[in-house]
Amino acid sequence: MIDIVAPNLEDLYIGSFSRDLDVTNNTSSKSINHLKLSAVAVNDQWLESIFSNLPNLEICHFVSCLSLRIMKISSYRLKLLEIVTCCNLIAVDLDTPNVLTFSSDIHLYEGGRVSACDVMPTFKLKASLLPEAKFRLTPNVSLYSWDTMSTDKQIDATRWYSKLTKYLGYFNHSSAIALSCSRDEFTYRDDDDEDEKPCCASLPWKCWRHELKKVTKNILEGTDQISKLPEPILDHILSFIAIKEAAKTSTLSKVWNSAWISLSCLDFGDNYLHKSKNIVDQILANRLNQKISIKRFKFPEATYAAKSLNVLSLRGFKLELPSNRVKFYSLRELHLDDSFLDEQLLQALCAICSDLEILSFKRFHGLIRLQVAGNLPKLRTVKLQFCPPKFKMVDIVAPNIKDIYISSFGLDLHVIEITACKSLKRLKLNAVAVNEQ
Amino acid sequence: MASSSSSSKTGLKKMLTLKSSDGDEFELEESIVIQCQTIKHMVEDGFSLIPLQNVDTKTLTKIIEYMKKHAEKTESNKEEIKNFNKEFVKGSFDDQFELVSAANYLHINGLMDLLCQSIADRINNKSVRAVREIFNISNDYTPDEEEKVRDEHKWAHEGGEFDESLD
Repeated sequence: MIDIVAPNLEDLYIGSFSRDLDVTNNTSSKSINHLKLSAVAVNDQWLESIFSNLPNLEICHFVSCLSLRIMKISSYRLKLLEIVTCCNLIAVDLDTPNVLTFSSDIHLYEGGRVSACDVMPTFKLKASLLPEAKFRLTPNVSLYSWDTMSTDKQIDATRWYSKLTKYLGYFNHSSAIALSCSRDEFTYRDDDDEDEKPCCASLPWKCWRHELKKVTKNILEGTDQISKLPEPILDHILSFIAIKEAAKTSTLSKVWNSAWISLSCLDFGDNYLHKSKNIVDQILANRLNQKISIKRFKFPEATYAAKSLNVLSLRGFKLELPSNRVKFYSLRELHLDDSFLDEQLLQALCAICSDLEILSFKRFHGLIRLQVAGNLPKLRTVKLQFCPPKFKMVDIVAPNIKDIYISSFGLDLHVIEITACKSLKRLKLNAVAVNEQ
Repeated sequence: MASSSSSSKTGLKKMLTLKSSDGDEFELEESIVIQCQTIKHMVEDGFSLIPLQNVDTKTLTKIIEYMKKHAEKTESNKEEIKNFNKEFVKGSFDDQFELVSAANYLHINGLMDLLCQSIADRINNKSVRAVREIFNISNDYTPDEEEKVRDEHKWAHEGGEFDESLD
């Protein structure tokens, strides 16, 4: 139960999951201008009464209010009324001379399907014109399978159409009707029935067909489901694709181009961009301009300022990071494969990246000694794979380290100091010259 | 609001009911369902009947199948889970898009990764034409616009041969 007394309250939005939430008459909240109820158990009487109790109410949204059956509204102030999935509604009866927009969804189910939303309510607007009626068509086609569609589809289409036209017939007075549909099942022909049926010749008003001002459809042909996915999902998909392939998707369509332009997970791990620094710079500059924060990055250069970088994974590069400009404060994993490393750089990097948890070098060169001097409290794993012959010494002081794995190419990697690593659980040495002590 | 939900400390298996947009109800153990962040938060808020208005019965059935299997995950059945995942993403694209939207809405991270990886695999190394065909992507560029975008990303189209197959 919700009972609010607030004389200056203007916006009230109540969204419920349980559908039995009761809203009491809040007659003291006279200023309410905007009311949105979602899945709230209000009844017809309550609805009728609020408009006399709330003189400033102009905008109303009712979503999934299943207990509403007859909506009777009398109000001089009401400007916008939206009804969505109020499935048990059988009549909408308005005496609202100043209403500008009525908006609702139209459920179109395939044949034979019994649904609570199968009946569209009748609509009556008393002695005034409705400037704009907006409808969102939601044909429930998700249960279609391609095998059964061919024969039943025609029947369904007829059913949908007669239901749709019947409902739209209530809006013959409207100055503009806008239909929208996010499914490709909906096709609209502009010149529909123009010659065959002079549908409103004998009527004192024009029928809805002539008032149909805007038909929006998200999909034009085929079942382009993938492009309808929200951009974060497209971003997620593209994050699994190497940069060159991801860039190529920009040519698919506008949606994909925009997903590419704002792609936040850049995987340069495809060994492609050895010589193409300009392209990398351009890709990064584009994202900088759009203020898109890079979530994941695989590439060395020009990334100095990626403060939120968590994983740095590089392959085939000579690392020349200017350590005074590197800002990888959040770096947790550092993977360097086939890379030229030098000791100073690693020391500097370790000093900056104090949250480092995983340190993994594979087939590196240039490094003679690896020293971790106790300044990485979170370090869990050190992996040194295929250490080069010149690599001579490992010295690790890390209180919380759990795993150390070292494998060598030359059999003479002989000095390993692992001190103050009290949490060490697994130690694996492969082709490493250790002695008994 | 129902706040009398029993604490998990009692050791009893707490059951939750998920309700699809078609109105079908599924009763599941809480331990299975909390893989889903969205529901987990609702459970923490004391709900035990959870209506999922964006998820239809067909999709919800698949998601429950996934959550049940992944709730059994241990060190020893990794291979089994791997095979399950492989089978799981085999469905038609239409089904997968319903699933990926639902997984996103429900915040099931593992399932999101699985589905997105599987879609990515179908895009990777394919020609633009093939990708359009596979996913029915409607090209809304004018020829001039398309030429311009292609030109801007010349480097991505260069070199290598792209797979024209549609699987």
